[in-house]
Amino acid sequence: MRITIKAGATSPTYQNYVASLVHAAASNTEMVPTEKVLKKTGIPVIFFHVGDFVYPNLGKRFLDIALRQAGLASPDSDYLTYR
Amino acid sequence: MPRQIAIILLTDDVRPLDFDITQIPIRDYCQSAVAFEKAYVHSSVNPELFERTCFTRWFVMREFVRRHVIGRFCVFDTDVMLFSSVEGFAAEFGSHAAGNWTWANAFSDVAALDLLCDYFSGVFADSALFDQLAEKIYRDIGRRQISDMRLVTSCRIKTRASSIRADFPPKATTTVSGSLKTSFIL
Repeated sequence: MRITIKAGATSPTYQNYVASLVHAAASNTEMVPTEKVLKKTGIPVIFFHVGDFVYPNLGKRFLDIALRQAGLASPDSDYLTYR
Repeated sequence: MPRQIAIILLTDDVRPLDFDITQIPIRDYCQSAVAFEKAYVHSSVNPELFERTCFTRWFVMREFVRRHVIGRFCVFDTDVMLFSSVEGFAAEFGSHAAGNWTWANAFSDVAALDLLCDYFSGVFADSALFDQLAEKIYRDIGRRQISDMRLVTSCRIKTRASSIRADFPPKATTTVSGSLKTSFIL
């Protein structure tokens, strides 16, 4: 596999990301569900966030705001506005 | 008691949060992303790591939803804020397998994610197709910008999928940057 570590892209989270890829490449085991991730009803909302290598620190601020808002947007939530 | 939705964060950095989010470390869902990375060719004004990750996220998500047998779900960019019921958002796409509106995505069939990932892999595996798309994008925007956004659009054209409905709710979501992007339905 190709992993290129660029200058400025060596934050701990980026290292975690690289380590994740190395781990995945090394473990050639069949994936078996081991946990139930959906403990709630309704359509799950998935966010993906890796590192803060583009906008250091700022990316996680956006992320946390988006996560909080998504959590508030349950049906019947007082925080929702309906047209 | 209002029905709650699961908010799932696929991340390389599980951390303490004071709100109810299911955090999933991506390290166990990277196998197909690693395979894609071998073929990735950078052609973008964005940093390579950023652009490459924009592609690999779809592969990670596919492994995740397949492993946990999640058949219907939404995927939002992390600068998208949800101000409406996610069920209402997903319902706007009707019976389509997938749809995107300003980088908020609804999937009702994982096969649509297969289609996207296979298309991404196919483009990077075929240098002639890659150059053809890059040239088309160059004519459109003045640079050979190969991004997942651009390829999602070309995938829609290739599959002759429908365009977004004209009456799609204009304020169901908004981005921090306020930008509105081209949408698609598969």
